[in-house]
This record gives sequence, structure tokens and C-alpha cells, in this order.
Amino acid sequence: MQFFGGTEISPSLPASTASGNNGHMMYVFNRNGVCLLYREWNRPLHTLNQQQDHKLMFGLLFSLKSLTAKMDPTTPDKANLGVPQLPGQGCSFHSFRTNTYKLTFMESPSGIKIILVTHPRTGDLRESLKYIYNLYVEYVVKNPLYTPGTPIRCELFNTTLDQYVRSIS
Amino acid sequence: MRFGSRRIRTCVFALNIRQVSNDSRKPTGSGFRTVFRVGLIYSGFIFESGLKDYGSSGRMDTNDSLRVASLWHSMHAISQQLSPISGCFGIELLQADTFDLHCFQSLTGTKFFVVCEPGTQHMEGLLKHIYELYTDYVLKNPFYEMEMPIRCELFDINLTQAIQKDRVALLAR
Repeated sequence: MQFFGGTEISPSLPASTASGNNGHMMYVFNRNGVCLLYREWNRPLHTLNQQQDHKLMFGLLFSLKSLTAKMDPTTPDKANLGVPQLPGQGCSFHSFRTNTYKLTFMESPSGIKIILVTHPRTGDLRESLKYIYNLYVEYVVKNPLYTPGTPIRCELFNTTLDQYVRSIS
Repeated sequence: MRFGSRRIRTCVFALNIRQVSNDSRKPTGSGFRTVFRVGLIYSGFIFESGLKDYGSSGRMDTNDSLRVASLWHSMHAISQQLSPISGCFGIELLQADTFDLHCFQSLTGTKFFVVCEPGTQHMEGLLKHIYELYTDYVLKNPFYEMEMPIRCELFDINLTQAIQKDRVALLAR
């Protein structure tokens, strides 16, 4: 786990190769599983109500993390399956792909989880998520009116985010 | 949660192919480690059908591999629920920090998966080949009872061969 901090928003904006509307939706969770932000750009299918959907997503990430920590073939001693792990502890994952979407996941050292769901053909989005994390730090954490742990309601963050996700290919 | 009304049988293969090149971690023995596991999930009841281990660090015991197999099965189902577009068939590739997990689901719901070094190519081909072997040596075996652990020597031999061939192809690259 590395530290993503810095004074600038990002030292270098990850290059976008082509313009596209590939983003489906994005979630931000804090370490307690509270959904701080949910944005959707292109989601024709809703199978559950929003609260259930957020719970399911958080559960999926939690379980996938414990699965990868247990399956990790490189470390000899691993904790039991299902034991909660601190951010940065154990082998985590950064993305998975199905035939209809690709989910990219990032966890900050403070336990903020950023999830971006895009078209399955999009490339490696780890840098993009770090950039989004930096946007979060600049526009949300540094906002004096924002109380940590509450849903994000920052107009400027939302517009910048929308603009950035639209540029991801 | 809807896991499908049809009878779901999952066959789990996990093998881990390690490359010696650009790898700072110490390779043991021949330089390759291969893990291979087979499991079956049938309607929530899990049968272990043989566990082969070619020396990965920290091998999983039987209970753990069953837990992992059932966890994978449910994660596969949940990922279909969370799809933004209809027609999702579940996770195909999971990229973890230290390994890639490719999963192939046959039309009848049998799942095969392979665990390999990050960035390993042509794993879909290997999985389809393993599926072929499974149909040829397990399903066409008159002594094999459905939903029972796989104890077919020919299947084991051919599977090992397929993996060996893949390792040779890896060496050639």
C-alpha cells in the first residue's frame, strides 16, 4: 500500500486515449461500509433498490478481498477466511471483469474504497482511481463544511468527477 | 438472492504457474510452482474431488479449499446481480495483487478456474481444454457417478499433461 498524498491534485493526469462514454457507475464507501457517494452515468438495469445495491456491492468487495487474501499463492501463512483485515493487509485485488462490465477497486490507507464500473474493454484504471482519490481529497476532505462519514454533497466534486469520468476510455 | 433454480454444479480447478523471469520472489525447486485443485459444488453441498499441490507456499487444507470454492460460487452469482447491463454471466477474470484468476463457466453451470501469475496469456484456451478433458475423461466414464468426487486416473494424467504443456509453452516465451 502506498500513500497517494501530495500538494497538487495529481502530478500527472492519466492520459486518456480516446473520448468515450464508458463509465457506468461509481461508488465511494468509507471504512464502516457507509456509501458516501453513488454516481451513475449509464445504467439501464436496476435489479435491486439503491440501499440493497450498496450493501451488496460492499459485501461483494469484502468477500472478494478475503477470498484473494486466502488464495494468495505467494505468502505461506494467511489468516483464516473471513477474518476482517485492515486496509493494506493481505493480498487485495484491483479489478475484475465480466462479459458486461469491468469493476476497478481501490482502497486508501484510511479505508476509503473507490469503485468504478466501466465498459469491459477499458484498460487499466488504477491510475485513474488514484486521480479520483486525489479529487476526493481536494474537493471533499479539504472542504470545511464537510463532516467526515456523511454522504458527499459537494457540487464542485460532482462536476469535476463527471467531467473526468467522461474522458476515461 | 437468486442463484438460479437449475441444479448448479461447479468444478473448480486452480493452478498457479509461476514465471522465473522478472520475479524477485525465490522460485523453489524447478522454478515453477503449480497448484491444482478440483472441487465440486452441487446445490450448496460441496464435495472435494481431489487436491493436488505442486508446492505453492501455504497450501490450503481441504476445508479451506471448500470454503474458497463456495465463496467463489456466491461471488460469481452476486456479480451478475450488480451488472449495469443485462446479460451478465459472472466474473471472467479477477486481477489480484499477486495473481490472476480466470474463470470459465460451461453452459450447464460448471465452473472451471485457473490461478496464474499476473498477466499470463491464453488462459481461456487452457480452461476450454480442461473442460474438454473433463467431458472426455470424467463425464464419458461409465464408472463416474454425477456429483461425486472425480477419481479418474486418466483425467488426472491428461490434466497434468495439459498443465505441463502450458509450462513448456511458458518456458519457450
